[in-house]
Amino acid sequence: MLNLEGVHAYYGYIHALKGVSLKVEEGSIVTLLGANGAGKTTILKVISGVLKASSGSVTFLDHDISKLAPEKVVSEGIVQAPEGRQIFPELTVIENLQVGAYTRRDKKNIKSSYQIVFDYFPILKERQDQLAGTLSGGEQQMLAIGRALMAKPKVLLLDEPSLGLAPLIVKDIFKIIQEINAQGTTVFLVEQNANQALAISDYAYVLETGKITVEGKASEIKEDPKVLQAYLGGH
Amino acid sequence: MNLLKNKAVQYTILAFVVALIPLLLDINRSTLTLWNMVIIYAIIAIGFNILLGYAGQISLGHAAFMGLGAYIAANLTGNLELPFLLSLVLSGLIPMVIGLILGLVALRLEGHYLAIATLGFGVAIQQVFKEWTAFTNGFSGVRADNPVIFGLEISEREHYFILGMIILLLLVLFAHYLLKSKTGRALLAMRDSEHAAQAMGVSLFKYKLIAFAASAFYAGIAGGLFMHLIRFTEPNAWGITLSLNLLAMVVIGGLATIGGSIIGAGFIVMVPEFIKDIEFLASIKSFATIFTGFAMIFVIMFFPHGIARIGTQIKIALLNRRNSRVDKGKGGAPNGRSKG
Amino acid sequence: MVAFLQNIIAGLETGSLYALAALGLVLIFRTSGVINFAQGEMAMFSSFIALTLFQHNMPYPVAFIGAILFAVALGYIVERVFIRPASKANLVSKMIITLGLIMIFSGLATAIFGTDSYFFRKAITADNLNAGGVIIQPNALFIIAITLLIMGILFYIIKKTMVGIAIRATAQNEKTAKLMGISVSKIYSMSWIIATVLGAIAGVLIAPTTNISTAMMMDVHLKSFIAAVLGGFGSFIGPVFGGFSIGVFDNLVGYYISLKWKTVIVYGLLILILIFKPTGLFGKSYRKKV
Ligand SMILES: Nc1ncnc2c1ncn2[C@@H]1O[C@H](COP(=O)(O)OP(=O)(O)OP(=O)(O)O)[C@@H](O)[C@H]1O
Ligand SMILES: [Mg+2]
Repeated sequence: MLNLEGVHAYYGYIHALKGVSLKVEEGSIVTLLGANGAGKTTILKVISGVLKASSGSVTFLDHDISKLAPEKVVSEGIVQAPEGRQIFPELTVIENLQVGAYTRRDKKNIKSSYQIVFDYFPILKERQDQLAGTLSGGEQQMLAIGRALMAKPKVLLLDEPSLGLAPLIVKDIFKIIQEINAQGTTVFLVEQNANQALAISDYAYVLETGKITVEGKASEIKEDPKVLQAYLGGH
Repeated sequence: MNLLKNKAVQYTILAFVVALIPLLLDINRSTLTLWNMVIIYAIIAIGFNILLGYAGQISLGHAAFMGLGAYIAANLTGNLELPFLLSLVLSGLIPMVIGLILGLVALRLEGHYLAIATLGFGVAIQQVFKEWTAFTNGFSGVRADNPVIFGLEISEREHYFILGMIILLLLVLFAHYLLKSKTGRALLAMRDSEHAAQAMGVSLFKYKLIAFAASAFYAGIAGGLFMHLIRFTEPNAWGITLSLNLLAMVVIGGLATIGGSIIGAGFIVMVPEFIKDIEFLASIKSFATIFTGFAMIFVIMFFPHGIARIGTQIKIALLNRRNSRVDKGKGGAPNGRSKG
Repeated sequence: MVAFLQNIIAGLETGSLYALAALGLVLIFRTSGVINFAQGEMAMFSSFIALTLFQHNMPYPVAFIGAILFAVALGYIVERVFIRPASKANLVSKMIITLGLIMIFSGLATAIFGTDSYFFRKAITADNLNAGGVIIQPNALFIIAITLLIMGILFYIIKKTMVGIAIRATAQNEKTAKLMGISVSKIYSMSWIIATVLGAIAGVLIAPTTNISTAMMMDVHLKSFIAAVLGGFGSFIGPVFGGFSIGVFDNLVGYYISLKWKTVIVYGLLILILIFKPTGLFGKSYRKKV
């Protein structure tokens, strides 16, 4: 469904991605693991069109999306819940969700999307008229995911949704990600929390300083001694 | 020969050579008036550059300091009959004190708020010029005599030019040594990041005040020299138009360079003159203003270091391009996009 | 008392125009992080368009609408040609660009329209009303009403519509706004267009008082800065409050203290506010992330 082929990307002179190829199959959950600074967020930026690949291709449903502006990528059906949540602090919860639906053409069905989001995250319904900046970290993460869902994405990109959250909340969030996926949304998950991410994923990639070094079924990666040592050992 | 590599020596030699040109060539009085104006604008531009180029503090009210200098010079030599040189020094020092006060205000403000505050300051002072008739004689304006130095009256433009050049040289040298010292580095650090500068132990208090005081002093001196050159002034001369022209001089000539300030002053004075000679352009009223506005925008967009450093900038761009080709080989061009 | 009320009304009349112009400033500032120092000159230009149409025997409403249409184009072009290419530049460079625009527009206006000052009619020319000795010009009421109406519409848009939410989202976090599918560049264009139109309306409405000339917007423009500072750049309602307050204050100072020193006092006030309450009286600390 979503394909990257030999993608290179730069920040000025910093060569952040050095020929990344990966595939996200329709209906699956794919996890991208990697240490800090490996380039995980950079991959998401390239997919979303915020950073242009200097070479290589990015295709979605068999057409090239590498030249599209970020807002066009959203219209294609690829939506991010970005690193650090990045909710709009001075908009209310409901307004944040509205922004998520900005590109929707089917205005009539938006109402039902609120309902879907509130079903996943009931707390957001309670807080709907509160300024988003006053939410707790976990609630903000839920809002970020909910906001992305409002766009009715075909592929949901999640950048470290578990970062900085208490273990219990992390567990919840991973469960909901699984549910979202079960309802038909493809998920591309960037994580450092390898154990839990792999537990819900179908396939996984490991990124090291801009290169994919390991890939395979999530269940196999979990057993891979190299990965075990690097990403699972400490936990 | 090493001496010639010394910037200060270069400045001095250059100043003396240029100062003598009008004595050697036969140049008419109105052209010499323009040359004198270049000197005067160069002085205020150098001061303004210390403020904007080095310290990164914007001011849209510096015309007020120059006006103040002019009125002070007129009053001190006229009403109080102080000697010219003493009066000139005072016409720098008094604005400097007010500059210090503005600097105190600037301590609490940054960026656009400072711009707005200084804009308001400029308008308010200009209004004072209009209303405080005892000091300024309102719209009727004030007059001043030719300067007299140790009994010698300077009535010829050639001589005024030499006088101006000497003062310019002194102020250039002062700025040169000031900016080469620890102060210069502190100002630049403050410009690049106030937080980082503070973390390095730079006292924002001290250096903002220095920058404002110095720029106001230079502006006041320029005003004093202007007063005795043109020998008449009235409030309309000291408004936002002059403040914008001042900004244009420094931006076009080159932020954070002394030479650039002088080039910028030449640009502002000479462009209208060149336009006068081109019939088509001369027929467009205020073409010089339009052109200056475009030039300022063009320079800040494409040559943010100004005319004075265009050469260097192009050289660096070429070098970078070559280097980037070398160290990437097959990777394709980096697309300079980075957040920030 | 009569004199006092008279001053209040006069203050509200001009104050409403300061408020309009201040809203324009704040709108642009919050979306694109630029202070448009050239807004006054741009408004002056639009007013000259109204004048030109009027001189060519167009009815007043046509002249008014013509100025607004011109402002739409002007705002769009300025953003596209001068502001957007510099979107990555630092704050001072952006300010310098809008300051350069002052020179360009005032120069162009002189070149095209000359330095004379022209009479321009009021929107409403009916006879004055007398309310217990207080003389009220119908035109003043019209100005106050129309600016309140415009502001009402604007607030509705900003608060309630998708576009308004997108504008606020962009103001808060441009990168994420893009990730959510908002075409940030459209939002920029739109805020420049709206702001330029607000300025133009203020220009056409102040014209009967100031006459139309290259210097006509000096006062409104500078006061709109004070209004924005007073109300704070952090909210949209603040500048409106600031505009009305400064209009009334200005008139009262002129009447009760000194007409001559009014300007100095008002700008002194500006500097005092900046020193003691730089976030404005509405107090919300707000800084656009650049
Ligand atoms: N805007 C930028 N400008 C310059 N370099 C950048 C920029 N953003 C990221 N980088 C660099 O690119 C590399 C990859 O960064 P990236 O943010 O993709 O890492 P990451 O894998 O997401 O790390 P983390 O787990 O910490 O989020 C890092 O070396 C980083 O320093
Ligand atoms: Mg990251």
